[in-house]
Amino acid sequence: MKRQLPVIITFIFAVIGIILQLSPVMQDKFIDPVNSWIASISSFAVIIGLASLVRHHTTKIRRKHKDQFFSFVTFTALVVMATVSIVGYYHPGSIWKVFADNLYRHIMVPLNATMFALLAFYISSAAYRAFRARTWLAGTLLVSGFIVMLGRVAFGPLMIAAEITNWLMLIPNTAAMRGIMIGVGLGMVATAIKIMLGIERSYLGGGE
Amino acid sequence: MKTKKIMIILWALLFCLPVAAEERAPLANFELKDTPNNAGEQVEFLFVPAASPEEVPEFLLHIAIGDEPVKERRLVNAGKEIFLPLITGEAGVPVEVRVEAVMDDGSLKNLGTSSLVSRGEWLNMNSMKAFILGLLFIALIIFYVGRAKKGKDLFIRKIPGLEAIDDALGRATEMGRPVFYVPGTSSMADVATLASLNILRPVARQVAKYETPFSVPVKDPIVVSVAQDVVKEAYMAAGRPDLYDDGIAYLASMGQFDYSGAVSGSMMREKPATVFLLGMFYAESLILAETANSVGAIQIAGTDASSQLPFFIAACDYTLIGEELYAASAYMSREPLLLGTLKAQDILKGLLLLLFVTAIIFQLFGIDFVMDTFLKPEW
Repeated sequence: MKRQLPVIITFIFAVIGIILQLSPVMQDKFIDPVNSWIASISSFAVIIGLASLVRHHTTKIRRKHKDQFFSFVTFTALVVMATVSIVGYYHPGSIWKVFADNLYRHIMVPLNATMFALLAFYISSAAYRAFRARTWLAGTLLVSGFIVMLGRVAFGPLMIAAEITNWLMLIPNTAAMRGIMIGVGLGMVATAIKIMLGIERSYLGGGE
Repeated sequence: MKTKKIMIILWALLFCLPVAAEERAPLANFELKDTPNNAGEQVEFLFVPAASPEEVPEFLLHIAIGDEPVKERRLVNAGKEIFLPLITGEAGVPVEVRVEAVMDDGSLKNLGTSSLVSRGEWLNMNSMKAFILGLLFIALIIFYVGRAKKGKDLFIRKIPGLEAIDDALGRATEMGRPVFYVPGTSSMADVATLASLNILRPVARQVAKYETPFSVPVKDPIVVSVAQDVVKEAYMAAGRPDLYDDGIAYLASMGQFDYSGAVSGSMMREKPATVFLLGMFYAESLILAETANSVGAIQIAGTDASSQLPFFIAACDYTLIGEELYAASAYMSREPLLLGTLKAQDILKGLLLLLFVTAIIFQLFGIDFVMDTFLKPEW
């Protein structure tokens, strides 16, 4: 029953999903309750997530893990940010609100931007490895990559590179991407059907 | 004398006819129609001006939707058809549009009224093609699952990324370094996440057998609880429940770049020998892949996000491209039921390919039937 019940629930809700997709009238009537359920479950899930985070870092501290310092940093950030934000939310005109806004604006946002900015360097290092012309495939990638980069900034007599770039992006690139997308689409449908019919149960923890 | 009178009447009628015809000719044709395949939240007003812009420069519409006050809307006569969607919000709402022509001298001439009650459709006919294809797919799956159950050998092509999993886990065991498994950064609503969790089970089972340290940092809280369950069951199936710890699968962070920062930091400190990046990824894909590369880990990546695939192909040792991610579970478990679905998937792909080629050939001869009937979207 431990295995069957989730499969039965999955099947029922999958059928409901299909019906909602096929019937505009049913969708109009029932999509709001379904979305409310999803929002409710997500709210509870945050508590589960928070418990998981706390347990993970508490264990590290309790076992005196060599990286326990980072767990202390996580806890400090969690407690300070949550406390300041909650107090600031209920006292909008207070210094707590300003403090919460500043923590978000001047610490959280720059840290996120820093991680995002690292991408530029990672792209260069990944491109360097991928473009080393050891095989004919890597050589083709190198040549096409060079043409596309040149085509994006081309002017004057180099405009021929822009035209080749357009062709590369429009014909071979689109053809390959569409091929991948068709495969992805079928794979998604197959996985959905497998889960719906209970053929695939690994996500429930076991196949039996 | 009688003949003369008749002639005069006939002549008079002949002169009058064009005048009468002109009187009867409408200045515009218009119709209020129910929008098909919706829940009644919208109706359509189709307006075709018949008079020239010189004769009628503008038309004035008086639109009444349900209990709302009547709205006026002016349409400049450009001699072109006008399609006007009117939002009713729900089914059963009466809609009325009264049309007046604003003549060249400024006077208004009533052209009539069109009205209807918005109606919801029980069946969206636009989705029928997809539904029929889905039914065909289910039929194929049932057929091939039946074949697989009977013990018929089903050929599945080799997928290098999946063949390398055993070697990658063995390497981590030999080096005494951990294995990291990142199940993407999306929620359970994403099929790629489900596919990733399906692969997590055999990986976790193998890791438990080899007694290799294992870490599954997750971004979504719901995925955390599912991943914990999957890993726990896998450790039990491998006969090593003693090695299981709830901290193996944990919530690293819920923000996109916070998460990539947390996971990259863990990788830098713990130096995993093998990193799996399987699931749905966004801009953080390359950060994770390059960090794994910088610590000398073997990276096995897979995603269905076409925009992230080039990054994985450039940065990782093995990449499962698109559908290979979905095939992985069946490929690794070799369960007849799952292999049957994989075969059905391949057959359907073959049928679609055949349909595409047929449509292209027909199109070359100027015949649109195959394209219009089977491949053209309805929306």
